[in-house]
Amino acid sequence: MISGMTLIIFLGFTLLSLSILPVLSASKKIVKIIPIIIIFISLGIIWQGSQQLALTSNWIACQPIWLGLGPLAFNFDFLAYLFILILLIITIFSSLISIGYLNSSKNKINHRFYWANFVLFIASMFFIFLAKNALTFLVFWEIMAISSLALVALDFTSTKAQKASLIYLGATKMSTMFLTIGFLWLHQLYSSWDFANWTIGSNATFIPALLLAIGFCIKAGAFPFHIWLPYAHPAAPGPVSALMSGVMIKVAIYGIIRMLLVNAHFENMFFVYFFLLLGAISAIWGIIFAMIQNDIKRSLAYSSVENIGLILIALAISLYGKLTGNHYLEIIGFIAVIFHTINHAVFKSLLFLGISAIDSKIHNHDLHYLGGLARYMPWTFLCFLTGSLSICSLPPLNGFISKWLIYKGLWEIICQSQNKFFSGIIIMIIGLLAMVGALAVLLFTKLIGLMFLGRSRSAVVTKASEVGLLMRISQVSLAFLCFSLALFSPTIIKFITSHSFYQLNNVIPQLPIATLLIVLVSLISIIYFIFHKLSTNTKNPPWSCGALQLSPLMQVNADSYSYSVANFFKPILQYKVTTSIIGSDKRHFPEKIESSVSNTSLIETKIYSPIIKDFEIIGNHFAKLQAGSIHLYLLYVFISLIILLFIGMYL
Amino acid sequence: MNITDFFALGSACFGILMLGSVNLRLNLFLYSLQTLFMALATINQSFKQVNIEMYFICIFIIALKALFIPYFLNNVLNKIDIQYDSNVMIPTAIGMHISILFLGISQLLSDKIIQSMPSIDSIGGVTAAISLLFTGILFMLLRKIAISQIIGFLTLENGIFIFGVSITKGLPLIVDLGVLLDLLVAIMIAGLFVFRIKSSFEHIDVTQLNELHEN
Repeated sequence: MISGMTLIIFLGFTLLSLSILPVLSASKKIVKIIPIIIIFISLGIIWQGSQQLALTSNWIACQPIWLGLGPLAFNFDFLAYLFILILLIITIFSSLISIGYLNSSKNKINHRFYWANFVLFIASMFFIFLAKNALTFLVFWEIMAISSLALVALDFTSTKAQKASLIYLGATKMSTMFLTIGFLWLHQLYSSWDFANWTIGSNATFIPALLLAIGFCIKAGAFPFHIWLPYAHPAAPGPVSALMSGVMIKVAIYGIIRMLLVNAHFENMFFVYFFLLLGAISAIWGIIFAMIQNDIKRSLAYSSVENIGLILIALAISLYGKLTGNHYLEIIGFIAVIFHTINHAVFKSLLFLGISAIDSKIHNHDLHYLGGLARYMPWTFLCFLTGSLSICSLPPLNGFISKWLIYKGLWEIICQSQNKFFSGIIIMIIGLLAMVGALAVLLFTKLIGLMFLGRSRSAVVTKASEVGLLMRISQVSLAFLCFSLALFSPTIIKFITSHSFYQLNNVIPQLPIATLLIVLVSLISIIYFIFHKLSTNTKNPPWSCGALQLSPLMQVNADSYSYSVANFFKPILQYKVTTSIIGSDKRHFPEKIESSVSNTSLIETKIYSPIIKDFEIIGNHFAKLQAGSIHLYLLYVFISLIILLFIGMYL
Repeated sequence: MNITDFFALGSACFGILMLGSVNLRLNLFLYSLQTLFMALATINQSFKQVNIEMYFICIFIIALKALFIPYFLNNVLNKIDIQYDSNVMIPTAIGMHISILFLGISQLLSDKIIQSMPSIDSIGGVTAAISLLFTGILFMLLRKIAISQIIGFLTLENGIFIFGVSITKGLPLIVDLGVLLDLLVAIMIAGLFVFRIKSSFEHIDVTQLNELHEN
C-alpha cells in the first residue's frame, strides 16, 4: 500500500520525466498527447492532495539519490497545497490554450522544444512548493529559472527576445546568488539544511534573512529589481507569460511566506518597514509605468509589479501582527497574502490568456494597431472585461475581496498602533493604495477601450474571428473562477484558516458578499432600464461637416489617453512629448504633423546601466592581460611559480 | 658531496649551458646529456633504495628521452631546415647568468625544503630540480623558435622528475611509464605541429603566431 505522499511525489516525477518525451520522440503526435497527460496528472495531484490535507507528511529519497550535502526531501502541508492548487489550475488552462496558440503562431516555434520546457517549468515549480530542505529548493529553483529562460528565448532569432532573455538570465542568477548565500549562512548557524530547523528572526540571522528577502524580491519583481519583468513577459509566448506572471513570481512569495513569515520570529520592525516600503513603492511605480506602455504585455507585466507590491504590503501587515502579538492582524494579513496571490494568479492568467487569444488571431499586441475587437471576438472581450474589472478590484469580483482585506488590515493597524510615526506611514500607504486603485482603473479602461471598443486601427483586426473552443473554454472557466472566488470567499477564507497554523475561526473577517451582489445587480439593472429608454437612434443632419466618415486615426489613441496623467508623473517617467510640423505654411496648412512620446525607466538608466558599464570597463582592463602572446603567458607562469615557491617557503 | 648530487647538479649545469647557446642542435645535444645525467642520478638513488623498478624506468628514460626524442627533433630540424634560434629576447650571456642566479635561489629554496622534510638526503637533487624548473621556463620565455619551446618544456619536465625522485622513494613503474608515454606523444605532436606551421606560415617564430588571434 503506497501512502498518499508517495503517490503525489510519483505523479510529480512523472510530470518531470514527461519533459523527456518530446525530446525522445520525433513524431508530431506526441505533442498532442502531452497537454492531455499534463491535465490528468494535475487533476490527480489536486485530488490526492485534498485527501490528505489534515496531515503533514514527509518524503525523503532513499540513499543513492543524494544531493551532495543533504537528502532530496519533500514536505507536504497546507501552505504547499494552496500554492500547488494555484499552479495546477493555471497550468491546466494555459496548457489548453497553448495548443491553439502554438498552431496559429506566426513565428516558427519548435513545438517539441516548447512542450519539453513547459513541462519542466511546471514540474520544477511543483517541487519547489514541496521542498523540505534548502538544497532541494535550490535545485528545483534553478531548473525553474533555466526552463523559463528557454521559454522566454523561444523566438531566439529576434533581437528583442535575445535582450529579454539576457536581462532575465541576469536577474534570475542574481536571485539565486542571494538565496544561496543566505542558505549557506543559515546552514552555518543551524548546521542543518532543513527549513523546519531554522528559526529566522534573532539578530544573528538578520543578514541571511535580509539576503533571502532580497533574493526572493528579485524573483518576485518587487520595486528596484523589477526591470526583468517588462522585458521577459512580452518576449515569452502568451500561455507562458500567464504561468510566469501568475505562478512563477508567486513562488518567490511562497518562499517569503515559508521562511520569513511562518517559520520566523522577528525581534525588530526592520522587515515590516522593508516589505511595507518595497510593497508601496512597487505598487505605485508599477502602475505608473503600466499606464503609459503601448505594448499590452508590457503593461500587464508592470501591473504584476503593482500586484506584487500589494502582496508585500499584506505580508508586512501579517508580520506586524506577529511581532506585536496581535493575532487578528496576523490572520488578516496572512489571508490577504494568500487570497491576493490566488486572485492575482487567476485574473492575471485570464488577462494573459486573453492576450494569447488575440495574439493567435492578429499576431500583434501593440495598442496602436488594435481596436474594435469586441465585434469580432465577443467571448474574449467578455472574459478580458471580467479580468479587468477583477484586477481593478471592483465588486463583486475576487480582486475586491483581497484588496478589502488589505485595507482592513491597514485600518486595524492605525486603530491599534501606539507608534504615531508608524501610523503616519500606514495612513500614507492607504492614500497611496487609493491612488494605485484609481490608476489601475485608468490602465484597464485604456486597455479595454483601445483594444475592444471604437474602430479598428489596422486592417488585420477586421479579419479577426473568434478563437477556437478550447481557448474559449479556458478563458470562460477562469472568468467564472473570478466570480466564484468572490462569491464563495467566506467559505474559502474559512477553509484557509481552518487548515493552516492559525486555528481561530471566530475572528474571520466577514464580508456580506451576497448582499453586496444583490444590491449591485439591482443597481445596474435600474440604471440600465432608466438609460436604455433614453438612448435613441441618432440621425445625421445634412450639413454635418464631414463628421459622417470618421477615420480610425481620429480616435483617442494609447498615448493621448494616458497623456494627462503621465504628464502629472513627468519626473518619474521622464515623459517627453515631441511634436514636429512639416510644411511650407506650418501654421495654416501643415503637410504633416508628427507627434511622438518617449519615456525612460529611471532605475534602468540611472542605476543598472552605470553598474553594468563599470563592469564592462573593469572587464576590458582584465582582457588586456590576455594579449594572445605565448611569451606573455609564459611570463605569467614563471612569475606565479616564483611567487608560489617563495610563499610556500617563507610563510 | 655524494654521487647522486654530482649527477643531479651536472644535469642542472647542462641546463644552464643550454641557455648560453643559440645553436639548436647543440641545445638538443645538451638536453640529451642533461637527461642522461638525470638518469644516472636516478640509478644512483635506486642503488641506495634497492628498488628494481627504478632500473627499468632509467632504461626507458635513457632510451626515450635521452636518445629518441633528441633524434626525432633533430629530424624535424633537418626537415624544416633551421640551424639557429638567433633572435632571442635578451642576449644569451645575460640569460645564462640569470639562470645561474636562479641556481642560487634554488639553493636557498631547497635549504628551506630540507629543513621542513628531514627525510630527504640529497640536497643537490632538490636544488638541481628547482634550478631545472626555472631554466626550462626561462628557456621557453627567452627563445622565439617553436623548437626551443619544446626543449624548454622537456627541461622543465626533467626538473619535475628529479624533484620527484629526490623527495620520494620513487613512483610506481606504471605511473612513470604513463608519464613517459604522455610526454612522448606530446613531443611527437608538437614536432608535427612545428613542421606543419613551418610549411603553412614560412616561419616558426612564436611571437608572430598571434596573427591568428581573433579581434
